[in-house]
Parts: sequence; structure tokens; C-alpha cells
Amino acid sequence: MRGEDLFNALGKIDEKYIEDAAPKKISFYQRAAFKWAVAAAACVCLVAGGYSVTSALTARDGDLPKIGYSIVIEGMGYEGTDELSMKNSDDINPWNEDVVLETLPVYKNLCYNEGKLSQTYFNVLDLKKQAEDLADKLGMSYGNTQISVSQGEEVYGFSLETEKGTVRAFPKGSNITVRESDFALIEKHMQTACNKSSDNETETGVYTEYSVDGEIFMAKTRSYYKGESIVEDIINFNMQSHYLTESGNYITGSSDNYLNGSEKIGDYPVISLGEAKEKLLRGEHISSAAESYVEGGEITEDVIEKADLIYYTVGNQEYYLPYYRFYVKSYSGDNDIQQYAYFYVCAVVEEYLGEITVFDGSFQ
Amino acid sequence: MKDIDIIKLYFARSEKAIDETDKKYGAYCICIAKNILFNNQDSEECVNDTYLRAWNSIPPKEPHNLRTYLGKITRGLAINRYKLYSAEKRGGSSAELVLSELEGCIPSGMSVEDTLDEKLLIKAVEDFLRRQSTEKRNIFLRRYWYCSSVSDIARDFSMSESKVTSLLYRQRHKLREHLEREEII
Repeated sequence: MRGEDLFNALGKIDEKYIEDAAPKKISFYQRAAFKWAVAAAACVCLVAGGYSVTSALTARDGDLPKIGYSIVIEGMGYEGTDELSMKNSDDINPWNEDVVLETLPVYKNLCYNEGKLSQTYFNVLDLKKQAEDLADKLGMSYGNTQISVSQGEEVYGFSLETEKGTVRAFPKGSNITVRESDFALIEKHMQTACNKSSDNETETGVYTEYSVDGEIFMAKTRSYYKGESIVEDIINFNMQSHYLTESGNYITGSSDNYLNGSEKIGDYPVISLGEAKEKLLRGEHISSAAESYVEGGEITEDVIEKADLIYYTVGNQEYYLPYYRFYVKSYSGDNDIQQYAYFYVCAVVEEYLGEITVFDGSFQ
Repeated sequence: MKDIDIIKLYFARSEKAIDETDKKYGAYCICIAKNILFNNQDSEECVNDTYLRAWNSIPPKEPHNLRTYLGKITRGLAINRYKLYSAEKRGGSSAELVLSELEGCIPSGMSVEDTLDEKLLIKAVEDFLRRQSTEKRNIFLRRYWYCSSVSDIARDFSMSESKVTSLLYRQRHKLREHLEREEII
């Protein structure tokens, strides 16, 4: 018996259950927008029932180019974590509260494709070549079984089946899935993806995510190559992280490379954590969580558990900008596991930021 | 048009039956097909096949609930088409996730060759569903019957995605326990 037998049996259950569970609202335009949002995953995308946040960054002087960006935050459900995940994960973010930063780089994503999942800077043939080059470098022979990775009509990656496993290329990274016994290939892929060798130092941590029930939902290892400065470490951690996940006898090594197909706009002055916290307390934040989710109904010092600095990278982002991310205590479920909602404050100095307009979302 | 009138058109062998079916239930069927196939063109072809299957089966069949009847056909055709594509290694469908999640309800020691009485399995699954609250049952079926994404379910039930994920995890676990208790697995 397999899962498919169960799936087939479910197909033959009493029709009254099927009828009761039928989706109540069906609109394909909505669905298309939603699928795109789901794939963006980091909750910074267009989605039904969300918040739309648009902003324009204007350079203070002629040194920095004038840029503008738009972000839409997911509204159904909210982005966050919980005490178990925090407690049982290593934190390898090179930024900490003692780090003093004057500027941080901002990047324009040349692959950005407004309102779409696919990132268009690379076409399918570019991605195919990337996948083939990677397979060649790893000594994985692929024959003629090239397959595009698509979501609907949109091709967003390219996959090669090889005798040792699968090689996939994306505009912003690559991954390989191989047997556990071929672990050396995973390490080689990580080095190849960043032009590094085994001599380069890495920072590695294990991240465990829990469900609201306290069950382990996912465990992965994250690594990045150490740079020569704290800013380089921050960029490597945020833009070029490597992940290792296991499934049965297979392992997948994924290498992000958000610098690929991105253009540095400039080094923008950034605010301190203290200044960011003041903005947070004044309500000048971006979040997929409403303040009503917060313990006590409003954000105060007491409900801010911790903060870190990250770049928004996941999904089809127009710009890669630094944000202070605050972990704010939110209402927990039935099992008393403390939940935290993420609230973001852009780390770029205020005068470089245009007016931020927040649209309370309704179905697009 | 009421279902009974559409069914009359099928019985009268009027091609208008297909038009009316499409008008009333096209979106519903496409939604099911698209959840499984994740591709507009394939989904539309699948729904056209559904209409053909309905045309060929009504009469003699006279569905009690036309919507669910069409939904079941669409789901079956879509999963068959999905299997063909997965053999060709075409990705993007949520069906792969749904099937792998259901796989978790089966003990790892149970082999593919271990056969079972499907009728007993269906009855056990119905027993399990009957014991769930309406909301939990509907969420379970949205995932494992309609193959809806967790995000879509979270949106429709006004829950966070993590809550839906956790609820589904718990239900799969309970289903497995139930099947074990019933000595199905």
C-alpha cells in the first residue's frame, strides 16, 4: 500500500464530505496572483488579502542613484517563528547588536519581473547553460534529459537529470540532489557556486523549525563563506548561503546567489538598532502581522524578544535592502509555545526613504 | 440552470449539456485540475476530458450531485495525467507534496505489494472523517481531496499557514493511528 492508494480511496468517499469541503471562492486571476505570492515565500509579494507597501528611495545627493521599490506583504497568516525553533537553532547571522555599521550596500535585482514568479534577466537557454556548466564542473554527465522547471507557463529554472542525481539552475542559485554516499559532490557544489576552495573558512549552523504543535517541521544546515570584513560576512550570509537538507537516502545542497544578476546601487547610510526600535515603537514598520496579533495588542519594549539584521531576498524582489527584523511576542496557540511575529524596519537612513504608503489589502 | 435540467440535456443527447456544464462547473473543475497539474493548458485539456467522460457516462448514470460527480472525474483524470508527467519528470505540481504527505500515513514497513481491501480502506477513512470537526474535516479534504496549497487553505479558513500545516500534520497522524486501530495497515 502506498500514499497513492490512500489518495485513491479518498477519491471514493461519501460525496457529502467532498461537497462540504469545496472551495467557496474560485477565481483564476486571484489564484494566479496567489501562486506567485506563495512562491515568493518570504511574504514580500502580492497576495490576496495582504498589505501593499510602496516606497520610493530618493538619494540625498548626487552620490547615490535615485531608486524606488515596491513591496507587498502577505496578509493571511503571518511571518514569524516560535520559541522552540529559536532555542533549537544555531544563529550564524554575523550581525549582532555590538556591530556598528555606517553603510550597507543596496542591490537592484536585474531579474525582477513585476507581478511574475519568473525572473527574466536569464532566459531558459541561459539557465540551461548554467545547469550544464555546473554539471560539467561537478563531473555529473547528463545526456539528453534536460527538463525545464516551470510553474504554470513560467519557466523559472532548469533541471538536468544525471547518472548521479539532479542538477538545477535558477537565476538566483542552484542546487543538486544526490545520494548520501555522494556527499563530496555537495561540498564541491558549494565551493563551485562561490568560486571557493576547501581552504576557505565557513560558518555553519543547524536550523530546526517546529510546527505550532511543537513537532519538528524541518531541519536544515546553513553555511556561508567568511569574508574579510563584517559587511562582507553580512552579504555572504544573506546573499550566498548554502543549505543542506536530507530526505531518505538523498541529500540536497542548495546554494543561493542573489548577487547573480544583481547590480549594486551604492552603499547607503544605515540607522542603528536603537533608532530602528524607536521607529518600530512609533508604528513605522512593515509586517504581515497586524498589531492585534501582538501580545497585549500593541508593540512595547516588553514584547520585543530580539532583533537581527537581514536582507529581504526570497522571491521576486525589485531591490535587496537591509532591514532590522524584530521578533515580537504574539498570541500563542493552545499549547503555550511562545510565538513571535516578524516586524521589519528598513535599515536605510530615513532621508533616503520616500513616503511609504500602506494599502490595506483586499482581493486583487 | 439547475443540475436536474443539465442532466436532462445529457439524457436528450443535447450538446448544450456540455456548454451548461462548463458554465456552471467549469471553474470548479479547472480549480481541481490546476491544483494537481499546475498548468493552464493541461488543466483545460483535463476538464475537456471530464466533459467527454460525463457525456459518455450520463446516461446511464444519473448523478445525484453533478458538481461532485464532475469533480471526482476531474480529480481522477488529473492525477493520471500527473503520474504521466511525473514519469517525464515535469515539476511544479502540488500533487507530489500531497502524495508524499499521505505516504506518511503508511508505515514504512509496508511494501508496495501489500494489498488491501479498498472498500475497507474507504470505510475506515470515512469513519475517520466523521470523527473530525467540520472545519478540520474540510481542511483535510481541501488538502487531500482538492490538493489545494497550504497557502490557499490558510487564506480560505483565515488561519496562518503554520497553523494549517500543523493541523494537517496532526490529522495525518490521527489517520494513521485510526488505520492501525482498524488493522487496515
